[in-house]
Amino acid sequence: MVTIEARGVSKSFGEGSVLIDVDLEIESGETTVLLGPNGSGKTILLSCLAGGLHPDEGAIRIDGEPPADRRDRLSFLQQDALAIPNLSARECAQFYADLHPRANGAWTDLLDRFELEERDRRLRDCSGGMRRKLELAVTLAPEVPIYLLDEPTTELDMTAVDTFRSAIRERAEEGAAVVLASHLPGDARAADRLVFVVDGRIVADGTPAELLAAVPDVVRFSGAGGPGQAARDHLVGGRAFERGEVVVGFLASDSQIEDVEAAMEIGGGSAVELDDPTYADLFNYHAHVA
Amino acid sequence: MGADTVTAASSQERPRSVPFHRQVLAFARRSLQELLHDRSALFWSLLMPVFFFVLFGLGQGGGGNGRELAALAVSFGFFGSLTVTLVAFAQTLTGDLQVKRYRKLRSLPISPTADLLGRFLAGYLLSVASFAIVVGVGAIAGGRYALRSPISPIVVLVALLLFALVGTSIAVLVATSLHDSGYVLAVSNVVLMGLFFLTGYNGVVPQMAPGPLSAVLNVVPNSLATRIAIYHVVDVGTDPDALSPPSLPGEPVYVLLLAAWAVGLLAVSGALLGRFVYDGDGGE
Repeated sequence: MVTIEARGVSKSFGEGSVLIDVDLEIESGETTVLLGPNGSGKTILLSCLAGGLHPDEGAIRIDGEPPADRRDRLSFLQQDALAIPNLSARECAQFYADLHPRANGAWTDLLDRFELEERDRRLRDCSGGMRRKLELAVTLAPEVPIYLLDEPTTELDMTAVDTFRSAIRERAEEGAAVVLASHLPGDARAADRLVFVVDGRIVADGTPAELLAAVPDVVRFSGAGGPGQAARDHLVGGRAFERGEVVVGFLASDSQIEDVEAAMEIGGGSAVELDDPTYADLFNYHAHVA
Repeated sequence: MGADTVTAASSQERPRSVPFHRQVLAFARRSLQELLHDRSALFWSLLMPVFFFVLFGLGQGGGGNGRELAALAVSFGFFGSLTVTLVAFAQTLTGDLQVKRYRKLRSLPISPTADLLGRFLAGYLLSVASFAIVVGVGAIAGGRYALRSPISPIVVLVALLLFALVGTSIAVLVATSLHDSGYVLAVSNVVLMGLFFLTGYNGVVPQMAPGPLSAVLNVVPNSLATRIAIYHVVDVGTDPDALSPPSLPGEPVYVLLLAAWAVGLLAVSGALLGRFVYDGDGGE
């Protein structure tokens, strides 16, 4: 069942277009991850879907109604803004719970789950990770069919990341639609569906398997030097990416690995071989060169 | 959690928003908690009005006259209460605008009026405390108070309330006009400080008000509110010319005039807050 529908959504600030003619449908029970480089428009798209920003053009519907009429149906995590510095975690959580018709006391259980013990310390004195745990508890507490989460795992420790992923998996299994924005390939592993947003437009949309299958052969360069210009000419977009101690690129459709090897012999230096695509490669391909 | 139970059928049974009064209380409690945790805000709210009273009231030769001291204490009490209201309102509002917290607040089913009234209520509660402190210090310093009638304390509280609404509305007007939340508190304070001095310490020293302004001290909201309160709680004796011209505004029609200011400005500011912040992208 379609829960959120965006049609032709555009948004500008000043003279700069942040979203351009975006169409998107979100279905219940589905976990969708919006991926893209920093500043690509993910946060603005999520804010528009939540009703936190008003599109300049286009329309958004939640269960067929304007967002303003169905704000009770969603819960929105806005990156770095929910925590109110002069309040304690307890006071801040209570404030948001008091304003949401489907909120309940679940935020206390969620704070337990995220192991946030110090609830009476002012948030200005808390670490970024502690504030993020509070924001997650505040956002996941209401019983709603739509959760919109902007970079929810930033600054979390690995234990909290796993707790978060368990929590959203539970909600999706119960029928909720979960949409989260991220620029971290790791978040993509929790997704049923990936949507790439680049320069304000949706450039790729599909399941992780579909989008991984769309990634061309990955060429791995190891050793000193990396690929020179002659080798890059055989890579999609002429571009290579660092991946730990190696450099990778995507083999252009009209090139063969032998072409790259020959180019590397001319330039000397790195060894070349084909490799399986990782989620990092998936991200780099769709976000930067596709 | 039961998100699956939030189906079309059950959604018909659930309210789409929290009741209005609970929204107001949520904003009021949050604003009050923020202020009580903020030493700087408490200093400006509760101690600075006393400092100004001591500086201008006791330091400029008013100490010998119980009536003048009491009137000045009421005047600075109103000045302080307004400052408190503005600090409370502008500080929390601009804070939310600056960090773009309104993206979150707009995603909630909130009434803009509840937002406005809640923030205002917190400021008003603190402003009453501020007013009481200055008036108390005035009494200790020798100010001479006398209740005009049994309902005089209520009239003063109402005047404070209406005046605080005027001040809050001015802050909203400034915020929506400037489109830059960083200047709201400063510009609002400049406006109100200007009114304070242009009306001769809120109408307590009429001869200080320049030319035409001295004739409208019972019309301009800051001096009107202050002079209503002075009429009701300061011992002006039988002197018909006390703090005049014009005569002190003792008739009920002056309270209605102040209410008209408050209601009119609140209507305008409430509409602007809705349009600028909730229906628009305020803070972006």
